[in-house]
Amino acid sequence: MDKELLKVEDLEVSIQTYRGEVQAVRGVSFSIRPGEVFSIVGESGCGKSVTAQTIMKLNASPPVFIRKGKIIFEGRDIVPLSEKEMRQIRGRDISMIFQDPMTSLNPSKKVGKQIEEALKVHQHGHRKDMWNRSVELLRLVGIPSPAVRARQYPHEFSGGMRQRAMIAMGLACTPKLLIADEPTTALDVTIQAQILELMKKMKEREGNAIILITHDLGVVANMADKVAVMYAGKIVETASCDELFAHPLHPYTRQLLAAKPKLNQSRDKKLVTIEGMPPSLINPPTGCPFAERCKEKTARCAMAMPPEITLAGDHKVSCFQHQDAGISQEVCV
Amino acid sequence: MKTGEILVELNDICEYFSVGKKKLKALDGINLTIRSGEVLGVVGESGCGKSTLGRVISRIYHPTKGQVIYKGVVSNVPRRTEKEHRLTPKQKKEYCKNVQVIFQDPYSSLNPRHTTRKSIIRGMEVHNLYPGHQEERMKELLQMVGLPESAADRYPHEFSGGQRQRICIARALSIEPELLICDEPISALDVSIQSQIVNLLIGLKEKLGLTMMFISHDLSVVKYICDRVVVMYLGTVMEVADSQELYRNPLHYYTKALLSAVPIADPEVEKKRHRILLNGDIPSPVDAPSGCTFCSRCPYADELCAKERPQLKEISPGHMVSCHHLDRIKENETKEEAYATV
Repeated sequence: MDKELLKVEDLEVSIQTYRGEVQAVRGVSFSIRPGEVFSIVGESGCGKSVTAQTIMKLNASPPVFIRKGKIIFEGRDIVPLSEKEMRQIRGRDISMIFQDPMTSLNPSKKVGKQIEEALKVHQHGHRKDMWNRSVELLRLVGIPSPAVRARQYPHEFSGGMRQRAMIAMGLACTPKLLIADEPTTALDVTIQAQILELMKKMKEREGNAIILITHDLGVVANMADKVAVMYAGKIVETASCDELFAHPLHPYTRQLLAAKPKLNQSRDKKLVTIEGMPPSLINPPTGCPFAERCKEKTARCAMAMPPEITLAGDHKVSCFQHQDAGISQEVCV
Repeated sequence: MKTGEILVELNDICEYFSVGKKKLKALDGINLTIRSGEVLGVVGESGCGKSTLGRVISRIYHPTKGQVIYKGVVSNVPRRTEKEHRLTPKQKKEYCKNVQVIFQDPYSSLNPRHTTRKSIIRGMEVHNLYPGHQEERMKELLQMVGLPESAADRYPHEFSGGQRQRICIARALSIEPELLICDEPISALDVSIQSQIVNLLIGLKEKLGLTMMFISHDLSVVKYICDRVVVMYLGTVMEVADSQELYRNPLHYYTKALLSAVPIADPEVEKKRHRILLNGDIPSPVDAPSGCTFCSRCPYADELCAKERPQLKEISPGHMVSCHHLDRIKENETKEEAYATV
């Protein structure tokens, strides 16, 4: 369990647009162990989806460029790999499910055939066996009468069922890592609960690691082992799930947690708001990206990016506030 | 009008749409009241008819059957019966002034060719309000919703989602409505921006004494802002109660399932929680069940549910539920609790 499955080191990704170069991911590092659920949370435009797509190398280059950094999967850096070599990895070792099951399935192909496709690329075997396997997969993800459903087209499926089919497809070749990019954002809460439960069950069965990308802290609390909070292309805080919710250290994490009304929140208490908006990533600020909106900022924050410091319990945070605390804590130990 | 009096009354509202030769029943017999000064929440999954309800109340749609009564005056009826009720154009216009809507998507609900000034002042011009002082009124509104005065000369594309939603709110408030219908006003926004808009709406409601109907699928936000909550499913009302009561003591099985499906941002709570997972999906409203609309997903359903639609019954003051088997649900739960304690 100690060996890392995936290690991302100082990843920098930028996207060229007419308005200039958007520095979508600015120095992101994290690592995932086998069987772990690692969650990346953040608001729209913080670079969480770009990070995920870069791990799969799904982005066309140009306009997207990996400027710096390594993505080490099972001891091998996949950044310099060619498209042909990547194709060997995609689906078999790493697979991905997307937010919108409506647009990520091929509308002109039967669902069973689409699942079969993933099997055909990576495994050799008899056609009939593969078809049976895709029906079996549909059954596993909880689709009623899978043999009939496999012969239907995506438009005959409801949103939740399409997402189930996507999960079946993602898990077809028993990958070691499943990247789920906002898998439940387009779904209703009751369906969301079903899908999350299914992902947990499948994880237990197959033992795959999951990168779960979401903006919903509730989903994170339900699923994740480890959480990274992203803001403006940087990871500002990483910790185990329990630790993060119990002791959020970065001001952004704290305010994000307070900004969402809880089911047991009293109505007399005013919601905490984060004033302003995230900075543009075309000319990102040199200092802490959150400094402009932070209520606890000091003069130092706008000048330089605070370094990431590791506190007790593998809790990493990038904030000057805790730099001093980090040292004192070490002294205590 | 005093707080607590009935402002809007919905009598057996039905809204059917034609889909080919079939009928899609978006609303099927809704009876509701909105009291003056309250915030009424409407929750439900997509396709349950909550937006259609908002649109019928705001006269964007005419109902297929039933009446919307506003302050005792019949204000929205099926189009063919409008003559019987002698709805004059003047009355209709007056009604539009009193009931305003904020839509979900601030990207498509503002005219891209109109500056903020034009968008906000247009309503005042139509209703002939603040003659000669419209410019000042507009500036006052911008300030009220937290936008700089310089926003007046800019176009929608120059604003972010949260700012656009603020413009929509300013536009809706420009003609001093009594009832503000918020149709998912925050679901297109990021969490940090959501709380800004929620606080703004609450502040404005208190300042201006508005009555609000807040349509949303986000149950935690609804609990935070609303006084009373309506739970809808497939075009029918499942449960109505004060928000505190509904969240503390949900009676309908669907409400229970809906509440238990809301993820809570606390891993401690999440681990302990017992989650009710509903089977299957919402059936299509085109061939909705003729009995209880929820019967295809309810574990307590029997023949009675499939045949006969349960009526909304008042269980305790202000708490109404439509279900045949409340006793059985309760009985079963006490049993389960007993097991849990043993």
